Order: sequence, then structure tokens, then C-alpha cells
Amino acid sequence: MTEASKSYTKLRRLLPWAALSAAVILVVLYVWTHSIGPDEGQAEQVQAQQTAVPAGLKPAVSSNGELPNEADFEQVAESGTLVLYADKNTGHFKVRDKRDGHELRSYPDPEDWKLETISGAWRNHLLSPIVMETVENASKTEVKVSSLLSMKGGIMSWKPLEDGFAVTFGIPSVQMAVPIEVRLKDDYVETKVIDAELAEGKVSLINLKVYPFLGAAQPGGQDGYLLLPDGSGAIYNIKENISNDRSVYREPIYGIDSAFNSVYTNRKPITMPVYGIKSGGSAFLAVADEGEEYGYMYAAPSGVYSRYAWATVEHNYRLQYFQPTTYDKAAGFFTFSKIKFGGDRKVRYYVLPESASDYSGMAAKYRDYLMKEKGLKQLEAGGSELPLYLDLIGGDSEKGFLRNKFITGTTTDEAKSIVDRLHAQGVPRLVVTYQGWQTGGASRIGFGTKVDKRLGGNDGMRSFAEYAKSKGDTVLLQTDYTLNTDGDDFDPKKQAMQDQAGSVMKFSRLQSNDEVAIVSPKVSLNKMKDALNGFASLGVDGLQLSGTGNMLFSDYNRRSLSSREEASALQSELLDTVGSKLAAVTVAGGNAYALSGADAIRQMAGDYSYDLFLDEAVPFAQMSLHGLVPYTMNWGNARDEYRKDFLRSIEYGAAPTFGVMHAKTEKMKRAYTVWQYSLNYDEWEEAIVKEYNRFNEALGDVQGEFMTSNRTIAPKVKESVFSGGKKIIVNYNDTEVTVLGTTVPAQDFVVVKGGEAQ
Amino acid sequence: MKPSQLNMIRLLRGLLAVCLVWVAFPAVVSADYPYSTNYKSGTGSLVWTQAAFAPEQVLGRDIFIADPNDPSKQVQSPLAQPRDLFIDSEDRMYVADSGNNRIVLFHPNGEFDRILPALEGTPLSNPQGLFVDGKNHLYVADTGNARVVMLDRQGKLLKEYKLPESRFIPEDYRFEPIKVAVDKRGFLYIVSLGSYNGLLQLDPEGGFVRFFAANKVPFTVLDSIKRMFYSKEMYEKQLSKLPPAINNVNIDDRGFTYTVSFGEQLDSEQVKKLNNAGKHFLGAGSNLGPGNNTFGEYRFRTAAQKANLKDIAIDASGNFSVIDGDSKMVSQYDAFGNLLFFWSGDASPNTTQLGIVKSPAAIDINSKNELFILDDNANLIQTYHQTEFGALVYKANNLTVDGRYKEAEPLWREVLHLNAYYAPAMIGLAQSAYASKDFAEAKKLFLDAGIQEGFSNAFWKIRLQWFQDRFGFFMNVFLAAVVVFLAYKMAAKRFPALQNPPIRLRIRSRLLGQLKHSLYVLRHPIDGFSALRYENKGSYLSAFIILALAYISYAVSRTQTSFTFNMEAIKPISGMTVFLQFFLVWIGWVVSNYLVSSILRGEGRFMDVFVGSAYALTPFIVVGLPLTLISNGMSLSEASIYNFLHQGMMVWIFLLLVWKVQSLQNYSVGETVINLLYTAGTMIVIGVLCFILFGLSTELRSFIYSIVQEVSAR
Repeated sequence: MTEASKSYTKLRRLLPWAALSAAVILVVLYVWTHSIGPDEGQAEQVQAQQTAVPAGLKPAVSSNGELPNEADFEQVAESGTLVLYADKNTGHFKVRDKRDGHELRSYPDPEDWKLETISGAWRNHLLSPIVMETVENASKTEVKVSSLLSMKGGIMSWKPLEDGFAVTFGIPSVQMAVPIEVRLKDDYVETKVIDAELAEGKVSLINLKVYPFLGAAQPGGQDGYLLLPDGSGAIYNIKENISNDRSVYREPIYGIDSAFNSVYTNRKPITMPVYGIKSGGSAFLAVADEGEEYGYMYAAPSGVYSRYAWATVEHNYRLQYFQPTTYDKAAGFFTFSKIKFGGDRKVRYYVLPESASDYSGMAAKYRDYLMKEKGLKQLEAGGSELPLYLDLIGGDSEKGFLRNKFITGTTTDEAKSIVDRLHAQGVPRLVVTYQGWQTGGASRIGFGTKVDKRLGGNDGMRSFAEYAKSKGDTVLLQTDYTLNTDGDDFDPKKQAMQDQAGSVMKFSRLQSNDEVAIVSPKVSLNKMKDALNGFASLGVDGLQLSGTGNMLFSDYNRRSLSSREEASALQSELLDTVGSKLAAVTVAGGNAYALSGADAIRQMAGDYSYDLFLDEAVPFAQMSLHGLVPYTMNWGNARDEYRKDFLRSIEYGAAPTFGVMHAKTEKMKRAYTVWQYSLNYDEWEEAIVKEYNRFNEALGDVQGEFMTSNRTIAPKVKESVFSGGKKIIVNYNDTEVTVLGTTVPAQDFVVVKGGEAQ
Repeated sequence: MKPSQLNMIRLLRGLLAVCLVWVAFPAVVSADYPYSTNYKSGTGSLVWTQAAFAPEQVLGRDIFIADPNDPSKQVQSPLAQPRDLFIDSEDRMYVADSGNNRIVLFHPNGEFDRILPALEGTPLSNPQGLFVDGKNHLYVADTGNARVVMLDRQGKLLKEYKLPESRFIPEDYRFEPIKVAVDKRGFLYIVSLGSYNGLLQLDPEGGFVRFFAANKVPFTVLDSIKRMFYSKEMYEKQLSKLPPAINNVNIDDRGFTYTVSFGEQLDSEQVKKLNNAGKHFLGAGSNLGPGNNTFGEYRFRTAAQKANLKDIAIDASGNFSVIDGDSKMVSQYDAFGNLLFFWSGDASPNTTQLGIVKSPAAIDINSKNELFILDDNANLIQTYHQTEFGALVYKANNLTVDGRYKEAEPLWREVLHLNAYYAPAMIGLAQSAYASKDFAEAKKLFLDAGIQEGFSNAFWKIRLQWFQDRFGFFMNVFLAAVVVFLAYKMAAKRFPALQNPPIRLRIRSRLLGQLKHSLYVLRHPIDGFSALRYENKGSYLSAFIILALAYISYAVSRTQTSFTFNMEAIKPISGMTVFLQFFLVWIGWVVSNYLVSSILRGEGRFMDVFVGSAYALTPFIVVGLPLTLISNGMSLSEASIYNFLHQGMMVWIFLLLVWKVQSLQNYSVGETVINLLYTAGTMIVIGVLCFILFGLSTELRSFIYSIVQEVSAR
């Protein structure tokens, strides 16, 4: 054999291997480059939606160059109380209230326009029906703020509807088309962004504001304010901005979505998708009716972006997230999701008559909305005695030398004696919520229905529930199907929520200094269906589901994929599922979608977030809910300021609540999660009974009534009025005050019935 | 790794996760105020408390001046980078509005009063500090003009202080006065920017008196090594060798001077409280412990984080509050420097909230205990009022500080009722119980509060009482013992059979014999160890048993030693951690020692090293256990006995190990020393290697992961 043939054979022998490895490399490359990320699958769908925006589209400028010309408005619809007019040049509309002639405009108030000093891009934004934030493509992070007019966009199509009109705004330069329907209903006008026809063109849409300056007003000495759903509700009085504070209010409805990267703001989460603006005698309440899970509440005080104070619901289409590139997640890059969040976005603007043009009127309108649209019903004021919401701490664990040590808080027998003692002292009805009853106590969160043996086990719980029922009380078990620390029937890798980057989402527990996996809402629902019989067999009246109804995130776990919108529906379904099997289910915090399924809202926010530009907290949420759903605020024994918070609970119409245990508080010193300052029942018994009686005196007979008005009648003196005419006057001052003929002792309240002091 | 370190790492990871993905806390945790308030106990555990101060309002947004273009109109003139705030004895507030080169006065109710007229001649230039004395004289640190001016309340210039001539002032001294305080005699104490010489003290006429309250140069072990090797020039070039600079100065009504300092290496004495003679009044020990000497608190400290205190406010009772410019944390201490509260909220760049300070420049408190914090970024003043809880704690603590324990007791009880974990209340009640001779109660409370000295003192009293009560009994026992002994001696003389030792049980079991051999090793280490090797006096089984006993004894002494000597007694401690600490070191020793010995011509087998090293731990059993028991009957006054025994045990174990090496490997003394040195070196190398291996594999995993991520995610 020659040298050449030798090497030839050698090469021939290598050939299959070479071919094989080449094929493997190709396959690997293919998989790498074509591996489908969580969102790329639907990228083509976005492409398909595109419709061409004609290049020569006439910009949507008014016939007089600036604000819409009054003469151009044509009537397009009419209802019993309202008339809708539209301007085909600009795409703006206005609504006239037939009752008192007030007009609500989708653009800044023309009366004040001459005082407007802002120029440049923001002047264009002020005139535009849509304002948006875009990025060139999803992997860019530079967000550009623009509007229809700043982008020289125009009206692509205009179609009259039987109760309004449909308009499509087009921006030729980036080929973006935004279709909007405006419809007039009985007492409101509704705007809707039609998702199916929304075309993004060459850019990626981040946020879209539709008619952001609807009802915007400048300070001019009128009585005017913005109402924001911050905490219990907060008021910004429209006034000249004399500070150099340029901050705005921007918060996601139902709290942040942890599947994405969020800017931390130290504000309380929004539970109700509403805002209102009052200027002089005209006022309206805006309710985000559909797609609010992707809404941000946005409000700018006067002097920040123009002299107008304005508020709007910002429709969010993409959120930024952190894509880690290292295992420890220390390095990576920020990017936006490639596909946008879907869903139509509807906002209703309820026009309020002058007689109801304040936050009490707004709350009444929202209450109306909840009853008509969300199926909430007025409470039947059964007995006239308030229930006492008593939370009992079962137990918790602490670190032991070899393994965790259980700390007993309240055994089921001790719970019986606590219930007995309260009844003996004249508290007629209790709603007992047992916490930390699972094996391992409060720090362990699982799907199980097994009561810790050291508390009395399932038998003990059954006998306690029976006993409490015989006394006329309600027993609930607190459990959390949104979090799980358990390894038994929960696999975090498969059943936990995952964020957009594919990491398991964790909840940081501050007290125990650990992280707990967040359960996918679909898993929660299935597990609950499995567990319901177990709960029922314990003989309890129902469950308190913490987490459900206040933590709302998108889930990118491919096994249980759910959008934020779907997640909220799943949570509602969870509540309904429990409600169908058990008599009662309560939630904490209470996002609006959880209201219809919940029998009580616990731990409701009773304050605002202390933004400097805001002027005061108002009980908007409480006024909307009183008479529909019972609610409690912070535990009476865990307050920051005992007297002040007690008075506020009374003013806000909240039911009395305490959280106690039989053991001494010190026993929980090293407990993983139970941290409250003072929990011993013996120490609090006297205070509980005393406070309960005062609560009952004030609120017992108005449980089923609406809170029709809440106002400040003197410095630090508030008055709450109920639909039956009962008034509660609360004095927060350190001195006695006499207002409207009623003397209120320092740091106290009086109840006035039918105009007479009791 | 220590449990605390593990916790720290877990914590950091937790914080990182929080930064990346913020998950809201459940509604139940969120208090109403936009910040949370804490206390940190002596054991370093964080306690959550009710707010001590609640946000009230913001001031400084209503400053109007005549429009320069049209004097008939009023225009708004907001503060601009204000740097100092002072509240005089009548609660009037003065603000050094540095950016506008002026002084702004506010009424006691917080309303804007007026602006002092510009000085004739040289107007103020960037005034950064001010002070008002009891005679209503206003002293302004006129930084831009390198002088301090004294004004009356109308703003008329009374006196001007420049840098005096003195041979005691260094030639390169740069005089940039930023803060000033004046004592009752009219002496000025001036902080010059970045000056490490201390406060410049001037007499009322402006003459130089001295540099006062200079900080010491921090000196570390590393410095002493550097000093040995560096040349003088090199050493002096080190910037860190300068003493920490004083940030601020204040003088309270009782005449104490307070300085607030910041330095890269300053870990204690961030606040100093001095009398005229320069004597320190903080950090002095008492029956409560060594006294607190570090100021500026953190909830969770990140590595290399140092308190950068900006200002100090002292109330009428001598309690003081300091504010950290970096973390925005307000820390509050009593007159002795004991911590009472600390609180801060997260300042988000996107919000301006009531009660949340973005960039604190100054802090002061008025006679109604309202706190004022000047924000030089938001250009306003945040005010806070004392809450029910805060007022209660301050009232109780003031009584305790004054020694009126009995009066303080009901107040502390109420505090403890509201917050069962609040340690100052426990300490207050413990002192009260101690004063009323209820030592058992005092001991329990001191234990709960984590105060070793107090606990030990109360225990000493209890023990004394116990012995006194039983004095007669002990005397009787003693006398009886003497009588019995004498009787025995007399009886022994008559019946010699009594002197024979009682019949001993013969130990037949080999294992028991091997175990018993451990005691022989203690008495005759050299012989004992070689018997292990050659006489089959030890086996793996016996070694494991002794090892297990030693571990149990070690764990028992870690957890059960009296709190007097052992802070860990009241902390949760995990058996796993103790196990790892104990065994990793021991295994490391055994392996290294065997490897080294086999190279260095040692005769011992692995089994010998293993068994010998286990037997060498016997003192843990024979000394450690009894010592743990005895420690529970000892107080701090016997600390030297305890420490002698405890350290003696350690030395003994070390010596046993040395003898083990020498005897098992059949070494001379010199060889033993060399072997030991090599073993120590090997242990270090193994440790470092493990560390590197672990680190590298993590890095490698991360590297592969990041490549995959880069390709697939981008």
C-alpha cells in the first residue's frame, strides 16, 4: 500500500465520524437558534396584524390649530342623562350632562388653555387623543414619549356606531394604528382600545394613554381635586404648585407584577381600578372595566406636565424584565417582553351630577357599579350586633438544636376558653380565624388540611368548631394557596410561578429571612378542589385565604401559563370554589376582582402612602364597600398609634379585630414568622371588650347601611354619615371640640342619630 | 462557618432577590407610616416596634419675598441646598439657606417668619452652619468667607471671628468653617471642613484656645505590620493614617459638647459626648454591660457599610438622635448612649413622601419633642411628632436614667404590654426589680434582655442569699463530715481490714477496657498513646464512641454553659452547625496529620492517628462537662476561674495532640514541632483548595450557563 492510499483509508475511516459530528453540531446550532423562548411563539401573529397606514394621512389637527373647535362637534349619541358629541378633525369628544349642563371633555379645559405656558412636545401631547411610550424594539431600553400630534398622526378611519363612534388613529412614520371605540351608555361614556386591530408597526408599544387629559383642570380658585385609589383613597387638591416637587403618581392596579422588574416606590398597592376628578360643580368617576390588570393609575399634579392637573389609566403593553445570563443571576441585561400583553382595554367615565360631585358621590357611584356589574349585594343587617373578628394564633416553629421546635400559641381547648370568656363578657358574636394551625405552625404554608397534633389535631379542631358554632360563632381557618413551603405535595420546579426570565418566583419573608415559592394560580385552584373535602370534614365554616386577592402576577411557567388577566380570573374562581363548598371565605387586602367572592375583607388599608403632593387620605374604599362587604383594618393590638388608629377604624366604619393567642407573647421571641409586638389574650381581654362595645355602639346598627358621606367638619374633626341618617363625629384633637352644636371629647367620638346627640 | 455568617449570606442573597424582583409584603406587615421602626438587642437580633415618631408635616414651602422686579408683589423663594437647622430655647427655628446665602427664620408653629437682611459690607457666602446661644445671639459659620459671624436677632453684625494667629495652628491649616457651637461662657467650637485637628476652640474675643476633641488615628494590626516594613515616608503617605474628621458639633443645655465624626475606618465613637475638660461620657460601663460606644444603626448591614452621621439633636433630658446621611437612618439613644429606636424608610427616586428624607443635612428637636429633619435635596424640612409609644418609652427611660426605678416600673410594664420584645423595657424592669431586691425577677429579665453583667450580678445576689439561708445546714454537714472522718480514722486503726480498697469490678470487656484507657492517656500521655499503637488499647469503635461523647460534651458546653459566660446560651443554635465546626476541623487535622507523618518517616498508621486524635479529645468530656455544670453556679466575679479552666482544657487538648504525634510516630521533640507546623500548613492548604475548587466549579457552571443564556436569550 502506498503512503497515499494509506492516508486515504485513514480518512475514509474518519468520514462517518466527521459527518456525524457535523450533523450533531448542526442540530445543536438549530436548537440553540430556534429554541422557543416563552414569547417568541406568537411573534408572527403580531406581524400578521399589520395594516398599512397611508403615508399622506392628514394630521389630526383641529380646524383652529390648537384645541378642538367647538363648532366642529357633532352629536353622535344620546342617552337618558347624557349627550355625546364628537369632532372628526381631532378624534376628541365631549359629553354634556342633561341634568345640569356640565360638560366633560376628552381634552384639556379650554377656559384655562390661555393660561397654559408649556411649549414643545408636551403642548402637542396635551392636544392629542393618545399619548404613548414606545421603544424601537423590545431589546432596547430607551423609552420614547410621543403622541398622535407630536408624531404627525391622523385619523385613518371613522365609523359611527349606534351609541357612539369608532376611530382609528394612524401614525404613518412608524406605521402604528390605534383603534378606539367611544360609546355612550346610560350614565357613562366608555372608551375601548380594540386589541385585535391594534398595530404597532415599526416600534414596540410600552404604554398607551387614551384621552389622558379627559377632565383635566387647572387651579383657578375652584373647589377641585383628584381622587386616587392610593391605600384607602387619597385626595390631591388642585392648586398652584409652589414647591419644586415634580413627582407624579404612577402605580400598577392590583400591585406590581413580580414576573417583571418593577420600580420600587414605597407606596401602598392599588386595590380598586378607579380615579375621579372634581373641578367646581362637575365631577366624574373613571372605572377601568376591562384589561385593568394591565392598567397603571397615572396622575400628575398641576405644574408637573403643564399647568393642568390630570389623571388617567395608562394601558400597559410591555414590562421590562431582567434576563440573567449568569447562574447566580448577578449579571444580565434588561429587556422588554417581545410580545405585548393582549386584551381590550375599557375605561368607563361616569359623569356625576353637581349634587354628587364629590368623593362621597364618587364612592356612591362605584358602589353602584359594584352592585350592578360585579354582582355585590347589600348586606342584610341580620342582628344589629357587630361580629368581633378574632384571629387566634395557633403556633409557630423556631430553630432548635437538632430540628425545629414547635411553639404552641393557642390549642383548640384554649381557643374554646377564649371564646367562652369573650361571650361571658358580652361579646355576642365572633368570627374566629385560626392562624398557624398547620403542622409546624404559621411559618409552614402548605396545601394540607392537617391540624398540628400539639394544638389538638383534627379532632381538637373539629370539636372547637362545633363548640363555637353552638355559641353562634363562625370559625375560619387561615391558609395561603399562593405560597408554599411544603415539599410533600408541591414541587417548586414544576408547580411554582415563573417570571418572564424563567426563574421560579419567590416571596421574601422578612421575619423568617427566607424565600417561599409562589404557587401557580392554576395549581392553587386544583389543589384547593382536592382539599375542600378535607376542610369541610374539619367542620369549620370557611377559610381565610391570605395571598389570594392581593398578590397578582403573570405566570410564565409553561405547565401552567397564565396572564395577569387570567390569574385574576383564576383567583376569583378559587374564591368561588371555596364559597360553593364552605359557608364563608375571607381575603386580606382585597383587590376589586376578589370582592364578589369574599365574605369579608381583612387588613384593609386605612391610610394613604404619604406622597407629599397629596393632601389627605379619605375612606373612599371603605365608603364604596360599607354595607356591601364587611371589612376590618389593622389588629387593635398591633397598631402604631392605638388611640388614633382606633378612632380611624370607627370613622372608616371598620369592624373590630384583634389577633391574640393563649401563650405569653415572649414565647414567640425566636419564632420564624410570628412577630407581632403583643399577642397575649389575657393582657388584651379588657381592651378587646371595651373597644368592642364602643365599636358596636357606633357601627352595630349600620352594618347593612351605606356610608353616604365623609367629610372634615373642623380641623382634625371628621364626620361619617350613614344612609339611615346616623352620624359619627370623630375628634382627633387633644382637646375637646364643639362643632355643629355637638361637643366631642378629646381623642374620642360621638354618635348622632337624626341630628340629636345621644 | 459561623451561623451568623451563614445568615448574612442568606440575607444578602435575599436582599439581592428583593432588588431584582420586588415582592410586596402581605398587607398585615405593612404599617401605616412609610417607614418601619426597629430596635436591636444586645445579641444583635432585630426587633420591630411601633413607630416612635410619626410624620407630621413639611415646612419650608411657604417662603415668600418681595419680587425684586416689582416690590409690591410677593414671590415664592424656596430654600436652596439648606445645610443647617437650629431650634432655639423658645422653639424658634433658624435655617442656614446655604444656596441662597441667607438665614431664614420660622415661627415655633412652623410658619415662615422672615429672612434676615443681608449683611452690610461682606454679605454671607454659602453659610453652612448656625447656632443660637441663650442670649439670642446668632452665630453663623460663613463658610464662603472663611469666618464666623455673630448677629443679633435682627440680623445686625455684632462680631466677626476669623482664623486667629497662633503658633499652635499648623501652617497648612485650611479654615473652612462649616459648623459652629457656642458654650455658656461664650467660647466657640468650630468645625472646619475635613479638618482632623479637632474642633477649633476660640475664646469670646476670638483668640485661639486649643484644638478640642480631636479623634484618634485608628491603628490596626495591619498598620503595625506596615510600620515595621514601610519606610517612614511611605508610611506617612498613607491617607488613611489621618484621624477621622468631625462632621458636626452641638452643645446641649447642660454644657456637654457632642461631636459627630465620620471616617473610613471609624467603627466606634462616631458620637462623642464631652465635658469642658474633654472627658468622654459615652461608652462607660455600668452594671448593664460595657456600655454602647457605636452609633448609627442598620437593619441589615452590607459589607463595608459605615455610618456617615451628619448631625445630632439632643433633647432636654439628654437623649440624642443622630441621622445617617447615606442610609437616612435616624438612630435614637438615651443620655448614656443606649439605643432606644432607629427608623428609616426607603426613599424611592420616583416619589417624595411625607416622612421620607432624601438627603438629610441636619436634625434638631424642640421642647415639645418634635423632631425636625432638614432635607437639602428636596429643600424642605420634615417634621415628626412623638407617638404614644415613643412618648411612653422616653418617659420611662428618663426616669430609669435618673435612678427612679420604682416610678419607671408601671411605665415599663405598659411598654412591655404594648411590645413584648422591646428590650429596654426589660432592662428597665430588671433594674427596678434589682433595686427592690427581687433578684430572681431581675435575673430572668436580664436574661431575656441579653445583659450578661446584670444577669450575673443578680445571680451573685441570689447565690449569696442561698448560701446565707443554708449556712447552718452547711456547717452541720461540714461538722458531720469531720466527725465521720475522725471516726473512720479511729476505726481503721483498730480494724486494719477497713483500709483495704473495696473490691473492684474486673472489667472483662475489651471495648470497656479500651474506653477506660482514655483516662489512662490523660495521666500518662506518652505511654498511653504508644499503648494505643502497640497494645491494642484502642480501636475504631472506641475512637468513634469517644468522638461521639466528645462532640456531645462540646455541644452541651456550647448550649448549656451559663449565660454569664456564653452569649450563645440565648441564641438559637443549630446542631448541624456545631457538628460541622467540630468535625471539619477534626477530620482536617486527622487527614493532614496522617499525610504529613507518613511523609516525615512517621511510624503511625492511619488508624493510630485517627484513634489517637479521638482520644486526645477526652478533656472535652472530663473537664468540659463538669465545667459546664459548674458555670451555672458561677458569676462574673469568678470569671477568671472559669476562663482558667476553659482555656486550660483547650491547652490540655493541644498538648495531648502534641504528645500523640510524638509518641505514635516515634518522633523527637524537634521532629514533632516540624510535623505540627507542616500539619497546620497542610490544613490551611486543604482548606484553601476546597475553597478554590468549590469557587471554580461554581464559576464554571456559571460560565457555561451564561454562554447558553447569551445565545438563547438575546
